[in-house]
Amino acid sequence: MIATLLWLGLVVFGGRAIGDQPTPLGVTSGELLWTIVIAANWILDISGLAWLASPRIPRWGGPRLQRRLASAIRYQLMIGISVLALIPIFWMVSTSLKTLPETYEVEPYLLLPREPQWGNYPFLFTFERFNVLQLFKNTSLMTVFNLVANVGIAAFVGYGFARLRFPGRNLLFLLVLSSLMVPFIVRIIPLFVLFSGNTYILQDQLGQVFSWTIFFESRSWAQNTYLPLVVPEFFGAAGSSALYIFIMRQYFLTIPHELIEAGRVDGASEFAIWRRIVLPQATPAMVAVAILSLQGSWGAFIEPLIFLRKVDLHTLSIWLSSFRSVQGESVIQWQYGMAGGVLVTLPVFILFLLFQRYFIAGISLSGIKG
Amino acid sequence: MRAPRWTIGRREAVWGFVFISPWVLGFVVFSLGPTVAIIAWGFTEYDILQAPKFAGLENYVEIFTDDEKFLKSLANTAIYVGLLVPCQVVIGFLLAVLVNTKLPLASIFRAFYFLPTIMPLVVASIVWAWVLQPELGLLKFLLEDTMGIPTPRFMVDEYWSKPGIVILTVWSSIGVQMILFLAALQAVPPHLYEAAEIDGAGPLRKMLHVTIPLVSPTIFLVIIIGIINSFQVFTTAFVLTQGGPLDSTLFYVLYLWRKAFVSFEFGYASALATILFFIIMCLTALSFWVSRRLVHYEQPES
Amino acid sequence: MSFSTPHGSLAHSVERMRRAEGEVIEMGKNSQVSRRRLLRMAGGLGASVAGVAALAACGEAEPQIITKEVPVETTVIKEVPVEKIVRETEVREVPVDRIVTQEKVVTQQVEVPVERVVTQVVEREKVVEKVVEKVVTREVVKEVPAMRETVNVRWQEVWADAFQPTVEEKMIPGFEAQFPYINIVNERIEEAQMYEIYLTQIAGGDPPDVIQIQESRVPQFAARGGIIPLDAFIGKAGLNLADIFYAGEWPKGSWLGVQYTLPLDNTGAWYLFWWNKDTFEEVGLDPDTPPTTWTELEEMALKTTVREGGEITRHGMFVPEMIKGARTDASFKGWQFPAGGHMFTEDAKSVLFDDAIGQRNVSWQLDMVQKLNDGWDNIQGYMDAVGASRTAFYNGLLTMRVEGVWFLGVMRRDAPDINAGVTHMPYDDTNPNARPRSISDDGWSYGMPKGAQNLEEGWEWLRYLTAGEGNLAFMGNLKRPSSVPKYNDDPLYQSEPLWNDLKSVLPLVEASPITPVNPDIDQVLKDEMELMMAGKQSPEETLASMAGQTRELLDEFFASL
Repeated sequence: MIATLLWLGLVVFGGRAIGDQPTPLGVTSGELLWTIVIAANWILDISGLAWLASPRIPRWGGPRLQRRLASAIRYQLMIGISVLALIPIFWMVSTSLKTLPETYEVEPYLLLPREPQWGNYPFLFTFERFNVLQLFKNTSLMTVFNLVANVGIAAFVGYGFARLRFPGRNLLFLLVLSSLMVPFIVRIIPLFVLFSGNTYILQDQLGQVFSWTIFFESRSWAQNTYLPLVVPEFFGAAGSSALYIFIMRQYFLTIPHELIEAGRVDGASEFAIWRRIVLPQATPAMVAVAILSLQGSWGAFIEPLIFLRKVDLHTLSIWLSSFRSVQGESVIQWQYGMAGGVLVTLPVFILFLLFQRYFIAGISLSGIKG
Repeated sequence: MRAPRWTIGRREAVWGFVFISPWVLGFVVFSLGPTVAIIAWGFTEYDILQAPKFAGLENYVEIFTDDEKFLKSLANTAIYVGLLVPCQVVIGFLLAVLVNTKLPLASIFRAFYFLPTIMPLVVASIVWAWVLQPELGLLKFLLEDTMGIPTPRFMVDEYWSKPGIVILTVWSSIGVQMILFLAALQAVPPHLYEAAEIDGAGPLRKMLHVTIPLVSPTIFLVIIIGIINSFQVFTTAFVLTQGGPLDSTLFYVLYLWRKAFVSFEFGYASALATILFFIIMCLTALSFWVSRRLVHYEQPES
Repeated sequence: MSFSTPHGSLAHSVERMRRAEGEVIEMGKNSQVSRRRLLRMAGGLGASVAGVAALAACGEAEPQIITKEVPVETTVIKEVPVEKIVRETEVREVPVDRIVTQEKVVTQQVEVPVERVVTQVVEREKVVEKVVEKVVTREVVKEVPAMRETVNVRWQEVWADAFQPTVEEKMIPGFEAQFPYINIVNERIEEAQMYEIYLTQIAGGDPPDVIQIQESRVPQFAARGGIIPLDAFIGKAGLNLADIFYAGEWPKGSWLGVQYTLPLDNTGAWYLFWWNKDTFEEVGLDPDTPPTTWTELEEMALKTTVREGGEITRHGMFVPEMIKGARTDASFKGWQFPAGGHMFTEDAKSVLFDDAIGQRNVSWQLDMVQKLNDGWDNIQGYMDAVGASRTAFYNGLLTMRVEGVWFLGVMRRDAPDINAGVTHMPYDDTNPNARPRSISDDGWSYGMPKGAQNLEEGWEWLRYLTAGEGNLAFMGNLKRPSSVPKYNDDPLYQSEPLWNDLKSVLPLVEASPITPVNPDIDQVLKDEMELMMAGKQSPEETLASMAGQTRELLDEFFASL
């Protein structure tokens, strides 16, 4: 960790000069430095963290030290991987604080803004074309509806496919997954036709495949309403619903059979078994579905773009993309785009931090080493 | 109202249908029609602007006899799936095991690893385009310019373009796999580990004989979802490479998109989509068949 | 601004006035908006402003408010003569069309005084808001039935991003002042997905009334009946397109002699030559003399190239780089005209580029990449989706490049300090027939898609956007040349030092026929050029393959008609 920081410092301040020197070992100074840094990193960090993990080390060796060393290695790995995961995030945040010309500087590479432009953030709220708060509201509402729908329906339907035997179950389950298998970019056309309920246009089209859309004739869902984005979720028929059903099914399949059998012996109805016995066991999977659904609806782009064309109804992803295309030639106002990216990412990040404790809530210490 | 006395099996079947009924309704109303329409349009000459004309098997004949890009894009996609899905399974699983701990601050790291997944794709692809940029990118600066370590020319080299997109996809989606595996790890009963420890099993054997069998349903899930999703890879290539260089990232759906919305051959694109549908369907069915013996389910033998 | 209790009825009426339901929210945002709204309200309902005068003069408002109204009243009173006309408009027996024309008269007369009201408003905004709202509201209730029913025109375009307030500040209010019965609903869509969205909406029978469309796609839509012919509207309005637009611009919106769209921008300037004056000075070249021929280009590019230890640290020029990214299709087309060649015959049925000039074009580009950049590998990385070559240009790592006219505004914003010049593309001096000229086979235009609901009103808006003031408002704000020559002399552009250099290039533009398989041909050109650059085929094979595939595509299409 310390060595990583040192290395980053060298990179930032030393620039390219230190990398190109030849060394007697036959490798460039950069490669040598790299090896040394990595090695030093591990040695320093593991010993340091082992030390920190417990201030009083009674003696070298023994199971306690082993455990501490294991924890230290785990930390070291976690930190190392977070560097990988966070480099682009760091870049996003750093860019969001730059001026536009600074974002285009490459020689020397500007990793941090000369003077942080905090004003980039309030600026996002000043656009007349987009009421950002309204967009937040739109997106949150859609996300909440979809989250409730997805978790509920996936847990319900998933149980049916996992633990109840009925004829044609496997075939039907393949059908569930089949809705994931047609690329969205072609499916959107019939889907839009379906929601716009335009039966007249179908008269002259192929065999009135959709003649049953007369049910919707009175009202077009496709004209700037959220219905096409929300209603299918409540019936497990939206883009990723099948995924959530699949997740729940797989999880239910790992719940011990004895639990369910015990319920049946007690004469409980299947609904009661699901509600009282199975669901409480399935919290981690439901949280997983909730998080994925949250992330999916929050970042949904192409569906809202097609179904909601009015600026007032847009979602945050569409708003973000509007920093990209200026004058029709994809000019990018990086700093605002990235600031917007930070703003959009932050709420979900916080929610994740709150949600994720449910993953680990039930874990016992002995499971750590698993 | 008193229900008649059903046999146990029949009672279970009825309940099964009750449980899946919302999905059946949704499927019939929202999913079936579009899918059938795509399959039907595959047999027509259709440009969306004019009414479709029945064309029999013409589209299919052309695809299989006179379309180099069909094979090229299918091969590209298959290579991509072959690269990506194992990465997702292995890295996702290892990450989950790594953060499946109650150590202090572990929750922060979990959130860090999930962060890329919630980063909006519009932003993520731009960021990655600049990180991996072969001439002016951050990666080149950090490795090559300062360290003298040669970096691969992601995105512009014919052979490095697919790995570039794989890296981006792994980075931006690994949070999903991590979460799925994390959830699965919670279902492993601790007493099994204790039992294994009593038998003198080390960490590796515990992993192989306890953890992996018990999370095998999730491994299966991640593989299937990986196959289904990555066969339809589109956005990353669309945004970052537009199919280049030299068609090395011309993935199947990107090619299909071009046919549908650049050439206005929607009938042809529908035929392509139908083929893809059956390819994925067959692979999924095959996986289900294979998994019967490999995946451990808590199911009474019958 | 809040609609408090005394104005309860006011809020209600204002809402009635809002011709699109969703816009109410925006109204409450800040006082600036509401002032703009006011202007729009007042301007848009020209007749009702006369009503403002009438009512304000009569003093019908509450006493409290009247005391504060004074400054406004004075201005408004000047408008009294207009009142007469308003009364005329209230005659209901007159046929609907005639009412409209009369209202137009009103608008023209009233517009100026209204502007004056607003300039005063700036100082005493609160007071004035109350007054005008109060009065306008009452009047509107009376006036609306006399007017034509409001029509919502749905307008979809891809340019109005977050940084483009022109649309709501200038264009829409300006238009709605002329056509009070039309309400423009701006629906922004994404450029990358625009055709997907258009087609989806057309398939669903729910298309907008006016769409922004690339001219390279017009024949594709037109040949399939996906876009509505404008000839009847043009005839009825008595427009002579040749008088209004640049000669190279308007024919691109037609197919088989029928006009389908009207142009928005002057896109001959899609191929402009930019150079870094500071670098020129540094290496001893005259910073104000760019290369005009291929020989000079090679010479100057070599001179500005810097090599360190076998590696190029500064490039002179990426010859195959056109527009943004690896648009090698554009590189073939872009250099074909300066080389003295052509693309297609006038009827767009046959290929013309399959000749010695085309061959020279292809070979020269490959040759230049070898000579100037030591091979495709060294420059390919710059031609990516994020426009790294632009960044290289800003940072002095690249001295000369070709990009379209939009680059002017982009460069000014991205790298305000750069000292760059702009001129036409260098031409091939080995060909005696070659001269400075530029191809124009694409650009942005407006049309009405199949299934559009409000054709009459849509046409008025389309006309305003292309041949009318809307064009200037949009293009002038972007500092991009308009398709209408007279607008390019507008003072709006004069703040840009390079403007006259740029404008002098516009007459060099020649329209090249656009085919209905244009996008497929572009793909072929791009793929083949890339194969050649990567060393997979010779220039001869490249040209033969390009021509062969293009012919096949064209023949196939024309056979299917």
